[in-house]
Amino acid sequence: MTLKVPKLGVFLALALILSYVESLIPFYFGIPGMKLGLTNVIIVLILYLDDWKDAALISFTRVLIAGFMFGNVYSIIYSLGGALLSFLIMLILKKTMNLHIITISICGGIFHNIGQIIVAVWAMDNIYIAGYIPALYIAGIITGFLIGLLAYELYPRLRKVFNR
Amino acid sequence: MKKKFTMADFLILGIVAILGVLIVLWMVFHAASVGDRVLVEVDGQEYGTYDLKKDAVYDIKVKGEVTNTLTIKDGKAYMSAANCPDHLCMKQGKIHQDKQTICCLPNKVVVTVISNEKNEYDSVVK
Repeated sequence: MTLKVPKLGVFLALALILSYVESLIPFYFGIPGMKLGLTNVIIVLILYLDDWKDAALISFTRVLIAGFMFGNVYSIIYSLGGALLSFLIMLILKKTMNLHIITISICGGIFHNIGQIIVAVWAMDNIYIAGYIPALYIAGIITGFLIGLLAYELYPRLRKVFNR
Repeated sequence: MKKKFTMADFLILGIVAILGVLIVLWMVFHAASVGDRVLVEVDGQEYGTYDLKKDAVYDIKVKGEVTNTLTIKDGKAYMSAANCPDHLCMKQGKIHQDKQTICCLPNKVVVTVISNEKNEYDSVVK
């Protein structure tokens, strides 16, 4: 059990590095809240390798630390909304049905974007921002699929290391 | 972890796809008409409305400090300057269709295109 701390530490560090890598990639098409969501690959993997409590812990600390390092208070609030909704959806789907890792990742990708928009509508007090939902929904499917594919390839390789 | 997609996956992905098609259809049928004014809001409070037909440059001040500059040219509005670090609002392009928005999240500035007429149809097929 004591081995769990260094393992989760490594995964948290990975998630933070991916946050940084993501901030370097100019993936922006005029839609606020659109993101590649690279760090979600770590969350999905921990969800499958470990249990949901550790995945929740990594997700939360990742948002906080990445926000303080590469963003500001607002980006923490938006990320937290996205991370929370996407995590809840992925957890519920994984607990209730036996789903493929790519399916889980697609749903997570969609709801990460939707969660951010919901926070934006609330924070800006402007319902018209919800007009971005169609574009973000489709973007979420594409990024979620790519992230899922990555997680699917990484899972058998990391399982040997993680469960040793 | 299972290797193959099963019925449960196709069920969920089917729901996702149908929802996606519905959202896109909704967007197509609500194809926006061209608006005639822009409404500027700061932190949820109305800041001002500006005519889209008149070319002008407006400075948006928050607490006495100019945070964003809105430019209206050729019937389109865009953010020409901003003091936020990422300048995402400037990259959101030019807006002129009804309900299109530009938002600057750090400064809480939202620019929305509005029009006088509601439910304006180009044509009605009977």
